[in-house]
Amino acid sequence: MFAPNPRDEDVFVSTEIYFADGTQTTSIVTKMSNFSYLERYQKERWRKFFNDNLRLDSNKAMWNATSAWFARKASAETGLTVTRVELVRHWRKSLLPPDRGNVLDDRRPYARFVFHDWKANP
Amino acid sequence: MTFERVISAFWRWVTEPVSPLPLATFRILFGLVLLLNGAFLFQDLDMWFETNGIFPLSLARSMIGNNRLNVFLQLGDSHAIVSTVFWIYMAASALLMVGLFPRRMALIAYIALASFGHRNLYILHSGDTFIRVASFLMIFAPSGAAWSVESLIRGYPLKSINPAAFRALQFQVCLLYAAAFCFKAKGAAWMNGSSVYIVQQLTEFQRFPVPDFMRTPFMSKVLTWSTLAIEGGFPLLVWFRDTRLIVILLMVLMHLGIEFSMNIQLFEWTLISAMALFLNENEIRRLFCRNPHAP
Repeated sequence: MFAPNPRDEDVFVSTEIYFADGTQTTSIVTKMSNFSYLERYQKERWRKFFNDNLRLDSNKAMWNATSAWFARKASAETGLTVTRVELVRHWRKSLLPPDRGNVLDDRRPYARFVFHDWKANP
Repeated sequence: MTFERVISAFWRWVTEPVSPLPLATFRILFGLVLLLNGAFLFQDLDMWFETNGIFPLSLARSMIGNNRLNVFLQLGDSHAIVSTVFWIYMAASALLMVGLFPRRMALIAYIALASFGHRNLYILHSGDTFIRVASFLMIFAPSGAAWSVESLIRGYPLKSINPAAFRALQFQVCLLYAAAFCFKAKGAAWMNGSSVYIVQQLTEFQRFPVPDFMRTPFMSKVLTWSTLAIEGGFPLLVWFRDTRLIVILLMVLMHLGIEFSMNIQLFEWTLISAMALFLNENEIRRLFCRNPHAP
């Protein structure tokens, strides 16, 4: 995981889900700091799946199935028809050590990129 | 030392009977780890492994392959099948922990772990690989010789056991740390001491807040190089009487430190439990028995 070098980007994945009635919802899937301490244990496999694997272009074969799963889940929860699901990756480069001691700043913004746009079959 | 003497010493090491207590302690802790692993998996079984989950079996066949140990390839991945395999795994883990038919239970746990792992490789981390390998080696280990239901039924604990599988488990732990050291030693961030500084910025791993003084480039160098020294030193120094307890203590402290600051699920607890394999009988008794002289 951290060898030969640790990943130098802090990453999380979110989804944008669009419904047939024109409404939209955003789900932050793997921002681990949003979870409680116990949930972080339980959701570690989510982090592994989404942050380490799904977001990679080399795993694009998984994107349709994952989007369809989010569509089914959102549809079951809301009773609305889902028309479109976007998978979004967010990342922030780690800083290299400055010459002098400096407490790290966790408030820097994340870059954002829609890596998959899934549309329901009409 | 001649080559023959080296071979002879190695042969004694893998054949001379050893106390069953270190292995029995590991069996209990390892069984607990397996149960916790299942407990954390339970809530998302349908999502990771079932037909209507996030990673369908057809996709798993094309991305992971058809020629791995995976009961779901033969049985399918319906809710009933996945739940049944899961509860068999949980029962086997509990029985392994208490030491009832521990070899058979280890075999069942291994098949279940391999099946879940090969059904969805993309949720696994290196701790999963270790518990899969360890459960395989436990198939051959006489871990029920002491502190087990088996020894209660027998009426007495065994005084000693064949050490082959026990040595294989010890060797596997050393191999894990040696491999971790070798891979890290190839990385620029580990060599220049910036690795911990970089990792501390990955909020996805953070657990409890770390004091500011621990998050400086200087402390990063101290922690990065300490990690390398401990991981590199353990496989060598754990075999010598004078250094064994020191490296075990350092390893436990390192894992507890990581556990406090980072969330890597059960990885740290799994390897802390494996430290029991390197303690001797007296140390195990002092740590875990109210009366260290009891049988």
